[in-house]
Amino acid sequence: MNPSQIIIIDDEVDMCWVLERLLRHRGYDVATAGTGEQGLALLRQPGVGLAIIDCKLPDREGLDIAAEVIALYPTVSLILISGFPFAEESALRERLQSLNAQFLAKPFEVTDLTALVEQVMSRRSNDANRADKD
Amino acid sequence: MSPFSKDDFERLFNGLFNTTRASVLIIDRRLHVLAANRNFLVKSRRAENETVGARLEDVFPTVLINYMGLLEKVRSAFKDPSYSSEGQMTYRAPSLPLRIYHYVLSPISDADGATTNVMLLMYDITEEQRLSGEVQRAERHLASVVQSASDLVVSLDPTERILSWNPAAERISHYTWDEIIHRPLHSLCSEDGKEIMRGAIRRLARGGPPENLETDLITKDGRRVPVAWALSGMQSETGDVAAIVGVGRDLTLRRQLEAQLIQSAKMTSLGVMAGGIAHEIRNPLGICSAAAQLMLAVPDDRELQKECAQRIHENIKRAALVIENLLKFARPPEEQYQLVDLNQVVEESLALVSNQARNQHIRTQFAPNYKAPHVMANSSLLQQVFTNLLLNACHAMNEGGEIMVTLTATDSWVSVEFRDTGAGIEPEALGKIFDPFYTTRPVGQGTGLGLPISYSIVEQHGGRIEVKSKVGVGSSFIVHLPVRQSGTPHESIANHHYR
Repeated sequence: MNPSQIIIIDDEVDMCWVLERLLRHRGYDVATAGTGEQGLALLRQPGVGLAIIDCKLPDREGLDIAAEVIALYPTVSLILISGFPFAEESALRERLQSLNAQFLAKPFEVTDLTALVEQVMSRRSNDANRADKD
Repeated sequence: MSPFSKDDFERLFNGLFNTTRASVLIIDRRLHVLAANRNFLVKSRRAENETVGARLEDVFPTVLINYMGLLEKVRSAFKDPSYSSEGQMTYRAPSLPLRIYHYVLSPISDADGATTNVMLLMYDITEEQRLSGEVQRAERHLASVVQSASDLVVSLDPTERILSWNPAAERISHYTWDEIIHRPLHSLCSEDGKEIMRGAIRRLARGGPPENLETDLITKDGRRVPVAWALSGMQSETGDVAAIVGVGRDLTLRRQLEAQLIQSAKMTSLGVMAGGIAHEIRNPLGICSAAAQLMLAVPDDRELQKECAQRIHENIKRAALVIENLLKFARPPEEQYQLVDLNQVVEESLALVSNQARNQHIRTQFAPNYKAPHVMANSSLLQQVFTNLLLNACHAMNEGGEIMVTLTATDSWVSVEFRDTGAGIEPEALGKIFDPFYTTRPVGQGTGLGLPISYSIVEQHGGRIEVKSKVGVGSSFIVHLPVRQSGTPHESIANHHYR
């Protein structure tokens, strides 16, 4: 089965709302969560291919949630987004690299996000096709 | 019959003659010394055999005899039994310092009333003279201290009329002494300070304890000069208040320095908040940007476009509010005190630190208390105090937690409590937290000025900050501010103006 669902975890309700509609418009199946714990609950359902996680969540650090996702569901891809001015910090860069996660700073160009999402999801579907052939 | 024999009388006479504190000379008609007592001989360093029988001119220096007219006086005393002469004489015995005497010259009569001799009594008053000279010098010194003081030194009668006005008072007020004499001191105070000054002087005139107050002085050319007054009553010997003395310090420079300090501490707080502020603005910007792009992506979906436009509008307002709060915080303090609703100040302060709190997973709680009376305050200064206390609470909760803000009121005080569930303050550190430059934060992250400045701001409002803390449980900072009853100005509040 092709895990095609995208989970968005952000406490900004409007951000969830816009991203959900943008990605739906592109044909993706999207669910949203306002806290890290709610997000992890959504990830327990099968079929999640990508999680878009805000770095600052009201209950947990987005990066800690990301690390937990990778540990529990190694096949799920990750994109972290943040309004924080620390994208240049080497510690963050290293952390993102170790999680094999992409990063986008707010405000971002939607085309940059959709390009990243498409790249991730098509790789997944290629992998899935290859897996089907094997 | 007298119980004394002639010998007894002679012994008694000799005893008196020689033990009296005065120097005594008995002079005969030839103006020779008939007798000199021991005190005279000791003080003048003369031997008895050189003195008794000697002429007065040989006993005293000629200059002194001429100056005093001693010989004429002695002659007059012999002529007139009721003669008496007294005065001051200075006399320097060989190799001794000058001494000053009060002398009395009077005739001695026998039983028939005939003058037989003249007595010269000399009392040494050198010490008394020296002391009164010292008192004069001390008085002159004191006067010159008042004259050259850099503080205003003013004295008033108990009805508040100005009696003296030193040069510093002239320099600061531009009023000369003759322009100001007999005017009441409060007539020089700013409108809001007049009642404060009058009240203090009324209490002093009734014998009240010394008063400290701050008011603005209005100079002759109409400028306002902030002055800290220390006023005290001067009591007369009967215990009444004879005068009131005021020493006033020009606070202009101190106010300027304080304003600079407050501004620099504010900049540090801004530095701490900058990350949160960036987040606070980037989030709504991110939403607006994405929503606008969504609108472009769905040109035919009118409904979705409308919703996007609404959300864009909402988020632009949100970003604008962040900037507005920020500007409110950064601008210099307002000129005047006004009646302020503390609920509003707390809410504005919470809005400023909301992001810092959210980043650290700190929940903030505040239930407004609209029954609390408004207080006379400078709202931007209080906002700085509250913001500082909130940022400190955030700093104490690196692992997240809760800040509860409560507003309580009594008839005379409104109290704002900031309670956190943070690390708490070690008991030994508790005494130092209001000391300038005391900080537990790494170099570059805390100036150690936040609490001292908050303390001084609250003190300027006539209030105080109370601290309760327990290590591992949390801290509570309570700002108590006085309620100013309408019509009766709070006397410990002064008005401060920052220029």
